[in-house]
Amino acid sequence: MTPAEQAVSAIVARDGLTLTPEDQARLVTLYEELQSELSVLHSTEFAATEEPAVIYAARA
Amino acid sequence: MASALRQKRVSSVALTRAALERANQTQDTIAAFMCFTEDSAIAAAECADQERAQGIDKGPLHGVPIGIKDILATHDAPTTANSLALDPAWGQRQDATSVRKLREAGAVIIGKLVLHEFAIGWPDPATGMRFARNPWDLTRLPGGSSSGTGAAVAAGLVPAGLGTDTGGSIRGPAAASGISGLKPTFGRVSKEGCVPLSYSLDHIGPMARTMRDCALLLQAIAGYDPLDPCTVDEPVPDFSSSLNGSLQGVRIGVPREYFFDQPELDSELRAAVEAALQLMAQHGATVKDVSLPHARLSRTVQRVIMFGEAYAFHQTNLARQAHRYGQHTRRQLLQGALYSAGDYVQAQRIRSVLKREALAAMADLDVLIMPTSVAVATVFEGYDPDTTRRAPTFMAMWNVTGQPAASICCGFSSQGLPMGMQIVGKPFDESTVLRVGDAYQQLTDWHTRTPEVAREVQTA
Repeated sequence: MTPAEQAVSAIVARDGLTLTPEDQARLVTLYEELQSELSVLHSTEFAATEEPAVIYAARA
Repeated sequence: MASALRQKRVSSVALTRAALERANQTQDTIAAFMCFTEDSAIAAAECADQERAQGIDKGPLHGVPIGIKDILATHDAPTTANSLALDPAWGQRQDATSVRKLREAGAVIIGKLVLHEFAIGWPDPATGMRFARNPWDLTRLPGGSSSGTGAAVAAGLVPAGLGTDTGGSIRGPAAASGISGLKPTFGRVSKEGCVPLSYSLDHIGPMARTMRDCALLLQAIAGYDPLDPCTVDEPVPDFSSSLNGSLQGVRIGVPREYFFDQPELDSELRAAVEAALQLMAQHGATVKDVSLPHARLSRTVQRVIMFGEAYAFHQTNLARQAHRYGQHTRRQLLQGALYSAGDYVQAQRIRSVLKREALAAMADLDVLIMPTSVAVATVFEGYDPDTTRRAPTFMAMWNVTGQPAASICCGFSSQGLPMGMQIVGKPFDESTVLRVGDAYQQLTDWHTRTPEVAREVQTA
Protein backbone atom coordinates (compact mmCIF):
# COMPACT_ATOMS: atom_id res chain seq x y z
CA MET A 1 0.00 0.00 0.00
CA THR A 2 1.14 3.53 -0.72
CA PRO A 3 1.24 6.06 2.14
CA ALA A 4 -1.89 7.69 0.72
CA GLU A 5 -3.72 4.36 0.57
CA GLN A 6 -2.70 3.64 4.15
CA ALA A 7 -3.83 7.06 5.33
CA VAL A 8 -7.21 6.81 3.61
CA SER A 9 -7.77 3.26 4.88
CA ALA A 10 -7.10 4.46 8.41
CA ILE A 11 -9.52 7.38 8.05
CA VAL A 12 -12.23 5.15 6.58
CA ALA A 13 -11.82 2.65 9.43
CA ARG A 14 -11.76 5.40 12.07
CA ASP A 15 -15.03 6.87 10.82
CA GLY A 16 -16.77 3.56 10.23
CA LEU A 17 -17.32 4.27 6.55
CA THR A 18 -18.15 1.59 4.02
CA LEU A 19 -17.05 2.86 0.63
CA THR A 20 -17.27 1.52 -2.87
CA PRO A 21 -13.89 0.77 -4.45
CA GLU A 22 -14.41 3.75 -6.76
CA ASP A 23 -15.10 6.12 -3.87
CA GLN A 24 -12.08 4.83 -1.95
CA ALA A 25 -9.84 5.21 -5.02
CA ARG A 26 -11.04 8.77 -5.52
CA LEU A 27 -10.28 9.61 -1.91
CA VAL A 28 -6.75 8.25 -2.29
CA THR A 29 -6.17 10.40 -5.37
CA LEU A 30 -7.63 13.39 -3.61
CA TYR A 31 -5.58 12.80 -0.49
CA GLU A 32 -2.38 12.90 -2.56
CA GLU A 33 -3.51 16.01 -4.37
CA LEU A 34 -4.50 17.85 -1.21
CA GLN A 35 -1.19 17.50 0.58
CA SER A 36 0.59 20.29 -1.27
CA GLU A 37 -2.48 22.52 -1.07
CA LEU A 38 -2.77 22.01 2.67
CA SER A 39 0.92 22.50 3.32
CA VAL A 40 0.47 26.14 2.32
CA LEU A 41 -1.98 26.59 5.17
CA HIS A 42 0.68 25.44 7.60
CA SER A 43 3.44 27.68 6.30
CA THR A 44 5.42 29.64 8.88
CA GLU A 45 3.94 32.85 7.52
CA PHE A 46 0.79 32.10 9.52
CA ALA A 47 2.34 30.24 12.42
CA ALA A 48 3.08 33.13 14.73
CA THR A 49 0.32 35.24 16.15
CA GLU A 50 -2.90 34.83 14.24
CA GLU A 51 -6.00 33.80 16.22
CA PRO A 52 -8.54 31.54 14.48
CA ALA A 53 -11.70 33.24 13.29
CA VAL A 54 -14.05 31.16 15.39
CA ILE A 55 -16.92 32.76 17.19
CA TYR A 56 -17.32 31.96 20.84
CA ALA A 57 -18.96 34.48 23.11
CA ALA A 58 -18.67 33.57 26.80
CA ARG A 59 -21.99 35.04 27.76
CA ALA A 60 -25.51 33.77 28.06
CA MET B 1 -46.01 43.80 -9.73
CA ALA B 2 -46.29 45.47 -6.33
CA SER B 3 -47.75 48.64 -7.83
CA ALA B 4 -50.26 46.64 -9.89
CA LEU B 5 -51.40 44.91 -6.71
CA ARG B 6 -51.58 48.19 -4.80
CA GLN B 7 -53.62 49.83 -7.54
CA LYS B 8 -55.82 46.71 -7.65
CA ARG B 9 -55.16 46.30 -11.37
CA VAL B 10 -54.52 42.66 -10.65
CA SER B 11 -55.29 40.39 -7.73
CA SER B 12 -52.83 38.28 -5.83
CA VAL B 13 -54.94 35.22 -6.59
CA ALA B 14 -54.67 35.90 -10.32
CA LEU B 15 -50.92 36.44 -10.09
CA THR B 16 -50.46 33.31 -8.00
CA ARG B 17 -52.55 31.12 -10.29
CA ALA B 18 -50.64 32.43 -13.31
CA ALA B 19 -47.30 31.78 -11.63
CA LEU B 20 -48.32 28.25 -10.68
CA GLU B 21 -49.51 27.58 -14.21
CA ARG B 22 -46.32 28.92 -15.81
CA ALA B 23 -44.12 26.99 -13.41
CA ASN B 24 -46.06 23.77 -14.01
CA GLN B 25 -45.73 24.19 -17.77
CA THR B 26 -41.95 24.26 -17.53
CA GLN B 27 -41.38 21.36 -15.15
CA ASP B 28 -40.38 19.08 -18.06
CA THR B 29 -37.92 21.61 -19.43
CA ILE B 30 -36.59 24.09 -16.89
CA ALA B 31 -37.60 21.95 -13.89
CA ALA B 32 -37.11 24.75 -11.37
CA PHE B 33 -39.46 23.47 -8.65
CA MET B 34 -39.20 20.48 -6.35
CA CYS B 35 -42.85 20.81 -5.38
CA PHE B 36 -45.70 23.29 -5.36
CA THR B 37 -47.64 24.49 -2.35
CA GLU B 38 -50.72 25.34 -4.35
CA ASP B 39 -53.35 25.13 -1.61
CA SER B 40 -51.52 27.28 0.91
CA ALA B 41 -50.40 29.66 -1.85
CA ILE B 42 -53.94 30.26 -3.05
CA ALA B 43 -55.10 30.67 0.55
CA ALA B 44 -52.33 33.19 1.22
CA ALA B 45 -53.16 35.05 -2.00
CA GLU B 46 -56.86 35.19 -1.08
CA CYS B 47 -55.88 36.50 2.33
CA ALA B 48 -53.68 39.17 0.72
CA ASP B 49 -56.51 40.26 -1.55
CA GLN B 50 -58.91 40.48 1.39
CA GLU B 51 -56.41 42.49 3.40
CA ARG B 52 -55.88 44.91 0.53
CA ALA B 53 -59.65 45.28 0.17
CA GLN B 54 -59.69 46.25 3.86
CA GLY B 55 -56.98 48.83 3.29
CA ILE B 56 -54.21 46.77 4.88
CA ASP B 57 -50.89 47.16 3.06
CA LYS B 58 -48.06 44.99 4.33
CA GLY B 59 -45.58 46.45 1.89
CA PRO B 60 -44.21 45.75 -1.56
CA LEU B 61 -44.18 41.95 -1.15
CA HIS B 62 -47.82 41.79 -0.10
CA GLY B 63 -49.51 39.30 -2.41
CA VAL B 64 -46.42 38.68 -4.57
CA PRO B 65 -45.73 35.04 -5.52
CA ILE B 66 -42.20 33.83 -4.77
CA GLY B 67 -40.27 30.57 -4.41
CA ILE B 68 -38.08 29.15 -1.65
CA LYS B 69 -34.98 26.98 -2.10
CA ASP B 70 -35.83 23.51 -0.83
CA ILE B 71 -33.20 23.61 1.85
CA LEU B 72 -35.27 25.95 4.01
CA ALA B 73 -37.99 24.50 6.19
CA THR B 74 -41.60 25.34 5.42
CA HIS B 75 -44.60 24.19 7.41
CA ASP B 76 -46.63 23.38 4.33
CA ALA B 77 -44.26 21.20 2.29
CA PRO B 78 -41.50 18.65 2.77
CA THR B 79 -37.94 19.86 2.99
CA THR B 80 -35.64 17.55 1.06
CA ALA B 81 -32.41 19.43 0.26
CA ASN B 82 -32.98 17.52 -2.99
CA SER B 83 -31.63 14.37 -1.35
CA LEU B 84 -32.87 10.91 -0.49
CA ALA B 85 -30.52 10.99 2.48
CA LEU B 86 -31.97 13.88 4.50
CA ASP B 87 -33.75 12.94 7.71
CA PRO B 88 -37.50 13.19 6.87
CA ALA B 89 -38.01 14.93 10.22
CA TRP B 90 -36.88 18.10 8.47
CA GLY B 91 -40.23 18.00 6.69
CA GLN B 92 -42.09 18.24 10.00
CA ARG B 93 -40.58 21.57 11.01
CA GLN B 94 -42.21 24.95 11.21
CA ASP B 95 -41.18 27.70 8.81
CA ALA B 96 -37.55 28.74 8.86
CA THR B 97 -37.16 32.23 10.28
CA SER B 98 -36.50 33.75 6.85
CA VAL B 99 -39.59 32.03 5.42
CA ARG B 100 -41.72 33.15 8.36
CA LYS B 101 -40.58 36.74 7.85
CA LEU B 102 -41.43 36.63 4.16
CA ARG B 103 -44.92 35.36 4.95
CA GLU B 104 -45.32 38.12 7.55
CA ALA B 105 -44.39 40.61 4.83
CA GLY B 106 -47.27 39.20 2.79
CA ALA B 107 -45.28 37.19 0.24
CA VAL B 108 -47.09 34.20 -1.28
CA ILE B 109 -44.87 31.13 -1.44
CA ILE B 110 -45.87 28.98 -4.41
CA GLY B 111 -43.36 26.17 -3.97
CA LYS B 112 -39.95 24.82 -3.07
CA LEU B 113 -37.17 25.35 -5.59
CA VAL B 114 -34.66 22.84 -6.88
CA LEU B 115 -31.07 22.89 -5.65
CA HIS B 116 -27.95 20.82 -6.01
CA GLU B 117 -28.17 18.05 -3.42
CA PHE B 118 -27.44 19.40 0.06
CA ALA B 119 -26.33 22.62 -1.67
CA ILE B 120 -23.12 20.99 -2.76
CA GLY B 121 -23.49 18.00 -5.07
CA TRP B 122 -23.52 18.10 -8.82
CA PRO B 123 -26.79 16.55 -10.09
CA ASP B 124 -26.74 12.77 -10.35
CA PRO B 125 -29.64 11.57 -12.54
CA ALA B 126 -29.29 8.09 -11.01
CA THR B 127 -30.90 9.35 -7.81
CA GLY B 128 -34.08 10.17 -9.70
CA MET B 129 -34.08 13.61 -8.11
CA ARG B 130 -34.86 16.67 -10.18
CA PHE B 131 -32.27 19.08 -11.53
CA ALA B 132 -32.95 22.48 -13.04
CA ARG B 133 -31.93 23.61 -16.52
CA ASN B 134 -30.71 27.00 -17.59
CA PRO B 135 -33.48 28.95 -19.39
CA TRP B 136 -30.84 30.56 -21.62
CA ASP B 137 -29.68 27.16 -22.89
CA LEU B 138 -31.39 24.01 -21.71
CA THR B 139 -28.24 21.94 -22.24
CA ARG B 140 -26.58 23.94 -19.47
CA LEU B 141 -27.11 24.21 -15.75
CA PRO B 142 -28.28 27.46 -14.21
CA GLY B 143 -25.34 27.38 -11.82
CA GLY B 144 -25.59 25.97 -8.33
CA SER B 145 -26.48 25.27 -5.78
CA SER B 146 -29.50 27.63 -5.86
CA SER B 147 -30.18 26.39 -9.37
CA GLY B 148 -33.97 26.38 -9.18
CA THR B 149 -34.15 29.92 -7.84
CA GLY B 150 -31.86 31.16 -10.60
CA ALA B 151 -33.78 29.33 -13.31
CA ALA B 152 -37.22 30.30 -12.01
CA VAL B 153 -36.40 34.00 -11.79
CA ALA B 154 -34.62 34.05 -15.16
CA ALA B 155 -37.57 32.32 -16.82
CA GLY B 156 -40.04 34.71 -15.24
CA LEU B 157 -41.80 31.97 -13.28
CA VAL B 158 -41.52 34.03 -10.09
CA PRO B 159 -40.17 37.57 -9.69
CA ALA B 160 -37.94 36.56 -6.78
CA GLY B 161 -36.91 33.80 -4.45
CA LEU B 162 -34.56 32.80 -1.68
CA GLY B 163 -31.22 31.10 -2.16
CA THR B 164 -28.40 30.07 0.11
CA ASP B 165 -24.70 30.68 -0.39
CA THR B 166 -21.76 28.85 1.21
CA GLY B 167 -19.18 29.38 -1.51
CA GLY B 168 -21.15 31.19 -4.20
CA SER B 169 -24.48 29.38 -4.38
CA ILE B 170 -26.52 32.58 -4.73
CA ARG B 171 -24.06 34.55 -6.84
CA GLY B 172 -23.07 31.70 -9.17
CA PRO B 173 -26.63 30.93 -10.27
CA ALA B 174 -27.39 34.64 -10.48
CA ALA B 175 -24.48 35.05 -12.89
CA ALA B 176 -25.26 31.91 -14.90
CA SER B 177 -28.94 32.83 -15.17
CA GLY B 178 -28.51 36.55 -15.88
CA ILE B 179 -30.29 37.78 -12.75
CA SER B 180 -29.33 39.56 -9.51
CA GLY B 181 -28.42 37.81 -6.29
CA LEU B 182 -27.18 39.09 -2.96
CA LYS B 183 -25.30 37.22 -0.28
CA PRO B 184 -25.77 39.46 2.75
CA THR B 185 -23.24 39.91 5.53
CA PHE B 186 -22.81 36.81 7.68
CA GLY B 187 -25.16 37.36 10.62
CA ARG B 188 -27.53 39.72 8.79
CA VAL B 189 -30.10 37.01 8.02
CA SER B 190 -31.02 34.12 10.31
CA LYS B 191 -29.98 30.64 9.20
CA GLU B 192 -32.50 29.01 11.53
CA GLY B 193 -34.46 26.33 9.70
CA CYS B 194 -31.88 25.90 6.95
CA VAL B 195 -30.34 22.46 6.45
CA PRO B 196 -26.71 23.25 7.25
CA LEU B 197 -23.87 22.81 4.84
CA SER B 198 -21.23 24.80 6.68
CA TYR B 199 -22.18 26.48 9.93
CA SER B 200 -19.75 29.39 9.65
CA LEU B 201 -20.05 29.96 5.90
CA ASP B 202 -23.78 29.51 5.12
CA HIS B 203 -25.73 32.62 4.17
CA ILE B 204 -29.36 33.07 3.11
CA GLY B 205 -30.21 35.80 0.64
CA PRO B 206 -32.46 37.12 -2.11
CA MET B 207 -32.38 36.42 -5.83
CA ALA B 208 -34.46 38.53 -8.23
CA ARG B 209 -34.29 40.21 -11.59
CA THR B 210 -33.07 43.52 -10.16
CA MET B 211 -31.09 44.74 -7.19
CA ARG B 212 -34.10 46.85 -6.31
CA ASP B 213 -36.16 43.69 -5.84
CA CYS B 214 -33.32 42.08 -3.88
CA ALA B 215 -33.50 45.05 -1.52
CA LEU B 216 -37.19 44.39 -0.91
CA LEU B 217 -36.62 40.75 0.00
CA LEU B 218 -33.60 41.54 2.15
CA GLN B 219 -35.67 44.10 4.03
CA ALA B 220 -38.15 41.40 4.94
CA ILE B 221 -35.69 38.73 6.06
CA ALA B 222 -32.91 40.74 7.72
CA GLY B 223 -32.47 41.10 11.45
CA TYR B 224 -31.35 39.52 14.68
CA ASP B 225 -32.88 36.16 15.55
CA PRO B 226 -32.38 34.61 19.01
CA LEU B 227 -32.80 31.21 17.34
CA ASP B 228 -29.59 31.72 15.35
CA PRO B 229 -26.55 32.57 17.49
CA CYS B 230 -24.71 33.73 14.37
CA THR B 231 -27.10 36.61 13.76
CA VAL B 232 -25.94 40.03 14.89
CA ASP B 233 -28.12 42.59 16.65
CA GLU B 234 -27.25 45.26 14.12
CA PRO B 235 -29.75 47.95 13.04
CA VAL B 236 -31.47 47.10 9.77
CA PRO B 237 -31.54 50.17 7.52
CA ASP B 238 -34.16 50.95 4.90
CA PHE B 239 -32.32 49.29 2.01
CA SER B 240 -34.52 50.76 -0.73
CA SER B 241 -33.92 54.32 0.47
CA SER B 242 -30.25 54.04 -0.51
CA LEU B 243 -31.13 53.35 -4.14
CA ASN B 244 -30.67 56.84 -5.55
CA GLY B 245 -29.50 55.74 -9.00
CA SER B 246 -26.26 57.66 -8.64
CA LEU B 247 -22.66 56.55 -8.85
CA GLN B 248 -21.38 60.04 -8.11
CA GLY B 249 -18.55 59.81 -5.61
CA VAL B 250 -18.71 56.03 -5.27
CA ARG B 251 -15.21 54.68 -4.65
CA ILE B 252 -14.61 51.35 -6.38
CA GLY B 253 -11.62 49.08 -5.77
CA VAL B 254 -10.50 46.53 -8.33
CA PRO B 255 -8.43 43.62 -6.99
CA ARG B 256 -6.68 42.71 -10.22
CA GLU B 257 -4.30 40.20 -8.69
CA TYR B 258 -5.97 36.78 -8.54
CA PHE B 259 -9.46 38.00 -9.53
CA PHE B 260 -8.49 39.19 -13.02
CA ASP B 261 -5.29 37.32 -13.83
CA GLN B 262 -6.39 33.67 -13.72
CA PRO B 263 -5.74 31.88 -17.02
CA GLU B 264 -9.13 30.15 -16.65
CA LEU B 265 -10.97 33.51 -16.70
CA ASP B 266 -13.03 33.81 -19.87
CA SER B 267 -11.76 36.73 -21.93
CA GLU B 268 -15.26 37.93 -22.86
CA LEU B 269 -16.21 37.93 -19.20
CA ARG B 270 -13.14 39.90 -18.20
CA ALA B 271 -13.86 42.42 -20.97
CA ALA B 272 -17.48 42.75 -19.83
CA VAL B 273 -16.44 43.58 -16.27
CA GLU B 274 -13.81 46.05 -17.53
CA ALA B 275 -16.48 47.71 -19.67
CA ALA B 276 -18.79 47.96 -16.66
CA LEU B 277 -16.04 49.60 -14.61
CA GLN B 278 -15.42 52.07 -17.40
CA LEU B 279 -19.11 52.90 -17.61
CA MET B 280 -19.33 53.45 -13.88
CA ALA B 281 -16.27 55.70 -13.98
CA GLN B 282 -17.92 57.74 -16.75
CA HIS B 283 -20.87 58.26 -14.43
CA GLY B 284 -19.03 59.60 -11.44
CA ALA B 285 -17.41 56.65 -9.71
CA THR B 286 -13.70 56.62 -8.94
CA VAL B 287 -11.96 53.36 -9.77
CA LYS B 288 -8.59 52.26 -8.44
CA ASP B 289 -6.65 49.03 -8.17
CA VAL B 290 -6.25 47.43 -4.75
CA SER B 291 -4.26 44.53 -3.39
CA LEU B 292 -5.56 41.53 -1.47
CA PRO B 293 -2.25 39.80 -0.83
CA HIS B 294 -3.55 36.39 0.25
CA ALA B 295 -6.75 36.17 -1.81
CA ARG B 296 -5.29 33.18 -3.63
CA LEU B 297 -5.63 31.20 -0.40
CA SER B 298 -9.34 31.89 -0.06
CA ARG B 299 -10.34 28.88 -2.12
CA THR B 300 -8.41 26.43 0.03
CA VAL B 301 -9.48 28.12 3.27
CA GLN B 302 -13.12 28.02 2.24
CA ARG B 303 -12.94 24.38 1.18
CA VAL B 304 -11.27 23.18 4.35
CA ILE B 305 -13.81 24.99 6.52
CA MET B 306 -16.80 24.04 4.38
CA PHE B 307 -15.92 20.36 3.99
CA GLY B 308 -14.85 20.06 7.61
CA GLU B 309 -18.13 21.48 8.87
CA ALA B 310 -20.20 19.60 6.28
CA TYR B 311 -18.55 16.33 7.19
CA ALA B 312 -19.35 16.91 10.85
CA PHE B 313 -23.03 17.20 9.89
CA HIS B 314 -23.07 14.24 7.49
CA GLN B 315 -20.56 11.81 8.99
CA THR B 316 -23.03 9.56 10.82
CA ASN B 317 -25.36 9.49 7.86
CA LEU B 318 -22.54 8.72 5.45
CA ALA B 319 -21.49 5.78 7.61
CA ARG B 320 -25.06 4.47 7.72
CA GLN B 321 -26.41 5.14 4.24
CA ALA B 322 -23.78 6.50 1.89
CA HIS B 323 -25.60 4.89 -1.04
CA ARG B 324 -28.56 7.24 -0.60
CA TYR B 325 -26.46 10.26 -1.57
CA GLY B 326 -25.87 11.08 -5.22
CA GLN B 327 -22.41 9.96 -6.25
CA HIS B 328 -21.00 13.47 -6.72
CA THR B 329 -22.45 14.70 -3.44
CA ARG B 330 -21.14 11.68 -1.56
CA ARG B 331 -17.66 12.10 -2.95
CA GLN B 332 -17.66 15.80 -2.21
CA LEU B 333 -18.74 15.28 1.38
CA LEU B 334 -16.25 12.48 1.97
CA GLN B 335 -13.49 14.97 1.28
CA GLY B 336 -14.18 16.37 4.72
CA ALA B 337 -12.75 13.20 6.26
CA LEU B 338 -9.35 13.99 4.78
CA TYR B 339 -8.82 17.25 6.65
CA SER B 340 -7.34 17.21 10.12
CA ALA B 341 -8.39 19.34 13.08
CA GLY B 342 -5.11 21.20 12.57
CA ASP B 343 -6.03 21.95 8.96
CA TYR B 344 -9.40 23.31 10.08
CA VAL B 345 -7.96 25.59 12.76
CA GLN B 346 -5.22 26.78 10.44
CA ALA B 347 -7.85 27.63 7.83
CA GLN B 348 -9.71 29.62 10.49
CA ARG B 349 -6.48 31.46 11.34
CA ILE B 350 -5.91 32.43 7.72
CA ARG B 351 -9.56 33.44 7.60
CA SER B 352 -8.63 36.12 10.14
CA VAL B 353 -5.82 37.28 7.84
CA LEU B 354 -8.12 37.43 4.81
CA LYS B 355 -10.75 39.37 6.71
CA ARG B 356 -8.24 41.88 8.02
CA GLU B 357 -6.65 42.38 4.61
CA ALA B 358 -10.01 42.86 2.92
CA LEU B 359 -11.10 45.48 5.45
CA ALA B 360 -7.76 47.27 5.17
CA ALA B 361 -7.99 47.31 1.38
CA MET B 362 -11.47 48.82 1.62
CA ALA B 363 -10.63 51.45 4.22
CA ASP B 364 -11.09 54.29 1.74
CA LEU B 365 -13.37 52.47 -0.67
CA ASP B 366 -17.07 51.73 -0.87
CA VAL B 367 -17.08 48.51 -2.87
CA LEU B 368 -14.83 46.06 -4.67
CA ILE B 369 -15.74 44.83 -8.14
CA MET B 370 -14.60 41.68 -9.93
CA PRO B 371 -16.01 38.90 -12.12
CA THR B 372 -18.43 36.60 -10.33
CA SER B 373 -17.05 33.43 -11.89
CA VAL B 374 -14.38 32.40 -14.35
CA ALA B 375 -16.79 31.27 -17.06
CA VAL B 376 -20.37 31.29 -18.27
CA ALA B 377 -22.91 28.56 -17.43
CA THR B 378 -21.60 25.00 -17.65
CA VAL B 379 -22.90 22.30 -19.98
CA PHE B 380 -24.49 19.47 -17.99
CA GLU B 381 -23.12 16.57 -20.01
CA GLY B 382 -19.51 15.67 -19.50
CA TYR B 383 -19.17 17.11 -16.00
CA ASP B 384 -15.67 16.62 -14.64
CA PRO B 385 -15.54 16.99 -10.84
CA ASP B 386 -11.76 17.22 -10.86
CA THR B 387 -11.69 20.19 -13.21
CA THR B 388 -14.33 21.91 -11.13
CA ARG B 389 -12.41 21.22 -7.94
CA ARG B 390 -9.21 22.72 -9.28
CA ALA B 391 -10.80 25.80 -10.84
CA PRO B 392 -10.29 29.14 -9.11
CA THR B 393 -13.28 30.78 -7.46
CA PHE B 394 -13.85 34.48 -6.98
CA MET B 395 -16.84 34.04 -4.68
CA ALA B 396 -15.53 31.87 -1.82
CA MET B 397 -13.39 34.73 -0.47
CA TRP B 398 -16.50 36.63 0.59
CA ASN B 399 -18.02 33.69 2.42
CA VAL B 400 -14.75 33.44 4.29
CA THR B 401 -14.72 37.13 5.25
CA GLY B 402 -18.50 37.28 5.64
CA GLN B 403 -18.79 40.52 3.67
CA PRO B 404 -21.90 41.25 1.58
CA ALA B 405 -21.46 40.34 -2.08
CA ALA B 406 -23.85 40.54 -5.00
CA SER B 407 -23.80 39.35 -8.57
CA ILE B 408 -25.52 41.25 -11.35
CA CYS B 409 -25.58 40.70 -15.09
CA CYS B 410 -22.99 42.76 -16.98
CA GLY B 411 -23.40 41.42 -20.48
CA PHE B 412 -23.87 38.40 -22.69
CA SER B 413 -21.24 36.21 -24.30
CA SER B 414 -20.99 35.62 -28.04
CA GLN B 415 -22.95 32.41 -27.35
CA GLY B 416 -25.76 34.47 -25.87
CA LEU B 417 -25.08 33.43 -22.29
CA PRO B 418 -25.25 35.86 -19.36
CA MET B 419 -22.09 37.04 -17.61
CA GLY B 420 -21.94 38.17 -14.00
CA MET B 421 -20.12 40.92 -12.14
CA GLN B 422 -19.58 40.78 -8.41
CA ILE B 423 -19.97 43.78 -6.10
CA VAL B 424 -18.54 43.37 -2.60
CA GLY B 425 -19.20 45.70 0.31
CA LYS B 426 -18.07 46.30 3.85
CA PRO B 427 -19.67 44.25 6.63
CA PHE B 428 -23.33 45.21 7.16
CA ASP B 429 -23.18 47.73 4.33
CA GLU B 430 -25.52 45.93 1.95
CA SER B 431 -27.03 49.34 1.24
CA THR B 432 -23.99 50.46 -0.74
CA VAL B 433 -23.76 47.17 -2.63
CA LEU B 434 -27.42 47.50 -3.57
CA ARG B 435 -26.99 51.17 -4.47
CA VAL B 436 -24.07 50.50 -6.80
CA GLY B 437 -25.77 47.53 -8.43
CA ASP B 438 -29.02 49.42 -8.87
CA ALA B 439 -27.26 52.46 -10.33
CA TYR B 440 -25.49 50.21 -12.85
CA GLN B 441 -28.83 48.66 -13.75
CA GLN B 442 -30.24 52.14 -14.36
CA LEU B 443 -27.47 52.65 -16.94
CA THR B 444 -27.79 49.28 -18.69
CA ASP B 445 -30.49 46.91 -19.87
CA TRP B 446 -28.81 43.54 -19.35
CA HIS B 447 -31.14 42.75 -16.45
CA THR B 448 -34.23 43.36 -18.57
CA ARG B 449 -33.37 40.70 -21.13
CA THR B 450 -35.27 37.45 -20.93
CA PRO B 451 -34.57 34.06 -22.50
CA GLU B 452 -36.68 32.79 -25.38
CA VAL B 453 -38.19 30.08 -23.23
CA ALA B 454 -39.54 32.72 -20.84
CA ARG B 455 -41.24 34.54 -23.68
CA GLU B 456 -42.75 31.25 -24.90
CA VAL B 457 -44.14 30.58 -21.44
CA GLN B 458 -45.60 34.07 -21.19
CA THR B 459 -47.22 33.68 -24.61
CA ALA B 460 -48.69 30.30 -23.78
